[in-house]
Amino acid sequence: MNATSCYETLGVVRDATPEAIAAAYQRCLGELRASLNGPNPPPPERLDALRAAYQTLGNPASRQAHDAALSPPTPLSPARAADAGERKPYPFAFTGSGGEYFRIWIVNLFLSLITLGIYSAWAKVRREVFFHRNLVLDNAAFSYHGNPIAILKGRAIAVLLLIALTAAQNAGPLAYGLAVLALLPVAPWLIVRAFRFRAHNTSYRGLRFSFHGSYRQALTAFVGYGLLSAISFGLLFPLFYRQQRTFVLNNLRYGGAQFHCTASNRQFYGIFLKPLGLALIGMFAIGLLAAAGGASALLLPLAFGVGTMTLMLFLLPYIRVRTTNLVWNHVTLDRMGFSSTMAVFAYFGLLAGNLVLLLLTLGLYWPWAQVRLARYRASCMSLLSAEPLDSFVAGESANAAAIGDEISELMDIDIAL
Amino acid sequence: MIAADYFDGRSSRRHAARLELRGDTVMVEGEFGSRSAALAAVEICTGTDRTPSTIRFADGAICEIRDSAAWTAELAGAGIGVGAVASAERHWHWALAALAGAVLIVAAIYAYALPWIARQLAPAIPQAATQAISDAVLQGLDARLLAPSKTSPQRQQEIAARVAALAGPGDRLPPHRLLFRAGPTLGANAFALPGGDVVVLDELLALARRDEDVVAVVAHELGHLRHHHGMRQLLQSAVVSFVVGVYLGDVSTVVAGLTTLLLESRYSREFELEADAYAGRLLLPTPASLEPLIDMLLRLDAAHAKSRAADRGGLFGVGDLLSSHPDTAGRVSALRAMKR
Repeated sequence: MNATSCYETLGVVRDATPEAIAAAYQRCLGELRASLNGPNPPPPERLDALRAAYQTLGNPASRQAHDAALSPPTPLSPARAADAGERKPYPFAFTGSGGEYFRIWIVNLFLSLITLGIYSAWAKVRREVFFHRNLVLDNAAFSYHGNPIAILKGRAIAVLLLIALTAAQNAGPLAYGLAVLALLPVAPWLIVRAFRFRAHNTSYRGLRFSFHGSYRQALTAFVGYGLLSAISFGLLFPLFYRQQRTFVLNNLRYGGAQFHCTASNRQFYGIFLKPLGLALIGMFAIGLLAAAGGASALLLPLAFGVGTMTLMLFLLPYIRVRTTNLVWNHVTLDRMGFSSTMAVFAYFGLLAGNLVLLLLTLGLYWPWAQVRLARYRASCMSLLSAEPLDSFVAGESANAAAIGDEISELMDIDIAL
Repeated sequence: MIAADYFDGRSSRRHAARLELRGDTVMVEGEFGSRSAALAAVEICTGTDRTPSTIRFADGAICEIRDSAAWTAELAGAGIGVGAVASAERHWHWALAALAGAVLIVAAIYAYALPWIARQLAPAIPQAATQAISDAVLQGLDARLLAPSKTSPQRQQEIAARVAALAGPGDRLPPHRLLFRAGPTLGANAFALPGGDVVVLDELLALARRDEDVVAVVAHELGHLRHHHGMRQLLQSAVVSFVVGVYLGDVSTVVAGLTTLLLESRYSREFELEADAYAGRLLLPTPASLEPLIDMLLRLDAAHAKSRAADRGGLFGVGDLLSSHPDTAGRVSALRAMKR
């Protein structure tokens, strides 16, 4: 097959990832099979060509040799030509309004109450559908496909776990410690299931997301690094935090395209340095107060209160904004990138306004607060791409009709995290 | 004909398409070709003013329709509505009705359903479990707040005998065990643990003028045991603090804690009245009748008011507001009414 390149045979671009190549091969095979019974079946050589192309590109050494032999390079398709140019931002937008979400929220809350919580699984689906469908990118909306029955099962398990934990807590510190220890190995399994469910049930432009993290990876990222962070008195917390974020993103796919996050430990430490320093100064000040004694009986709790409030109102939002920007500015999806431009002070203002209005309305402002946050987050995000967003292909769920049932069977548990 | 975007489910390529309903069949056509399916065979999700509607074919292909209003109208023509819940979500009057309904339900659960469920459940909890809880509580109290009693064993036995004599013909006292302790920091007090232990403090004996006074207070504590108040309180407060924690947890733990206390104080007020009523029934046939109980209520109230004034521990008088023995006057008049 020297007349056409292996890339053209499989219909992929020249710097396609191995995953994309594998996906394209599967797709071509599927098409071939489908057309065998059609009016004009393809020549038998087509199958050989596909296999040869996949074997060549599947092996890094032979792929390199193939690339070298391809000279001059394959003529650029229009999309490829654009790749040479600037990447264009495709902004995200959230279109929902607070009033709309209030009505959805309160109607579903009422139904959940009157059905003793059973309807809450359906309520969750309606809420997710609202937030997904209002998220728009390049004039197309995201979709959510969660099955309420699956969510209900997940909730039942969560409630049982909670009851067991509470019972253990009441039975004494030893029982509680044992229960927590017993939960440690279960947690990564739950986390993987939850991310798989969430990713698989999110779609955009008719293609689903998927999550491929393993139990072992989750165990390392959440339990292993969590313990490390704990025994280092939080000094290794930024490592732990980065592990969590990269575990999610590096195992996430849109169709056959893989997300990849390249933010480094160093960059995470850069963000955590300031809050960590502030927290240390705060603890030092409280220590001084305690040492001063005397009037501190009332001052000490006050100082603790101020410290906690500072943490909740400023440090955590600061970390959220900076890490969100860091992570998304270092995420690639095939040849595309993202840009996140959240501003710390704008976010503080948003949170403070939400908090005041929540207190004034006894919590009824909640839906508006959620929508304002979603709108702000979306307005700060863009997808950067040099080509139109048409070139993604489906991953293994391409044959959704065939495998879909099986997958949903596997992923019938959802646990909100 | 409604404009739509067609995605084939295999790639993210957008195909401009037109959508049409013909009877029970939905038709999509565009440059990609055309396809049709029975309405029953596609998944329909109707959007709102702002969100798109979609139809999903069995093979995963979708049609995204921006003009949801036109599409909804077209569907309505074919006899397909948006569903009861979705249509309620679109109207403010339904939303406000749901708000009122939700408030009513929460209030009813708090005032009636939760106490009722706790009353049914508490007697069913095995004695071993309640005893274990009581033992743990007593151990904790013994370690921190309580000291061995200085009351002579002889007086202890006398009081126990008088309490046992309260049982009228055909009436059995709830299983109980009298324990005597000294509680210098707790003041004059007696309390019942759910397992059946009734703890009487030396300070209460000092406040009492006669043994009848002590017996009256113990009768009140037996009322708590008879009605399983300890476990009911435990069950109810577990639910209340969980719900309040979920609702207010993000605001502040202090606010959540105070709200929980405030909500629970209503329950404990009911328990006190119930225990008084039981004690009243036990004491009415005795020679001194209800006078010792009324007397002790007033004197305990005065003693506690004095100690509260003495240490002024509570910030902003919150302690008074949340006291678990409020409204002594009300309880006394309820007892007087019983006497008549």
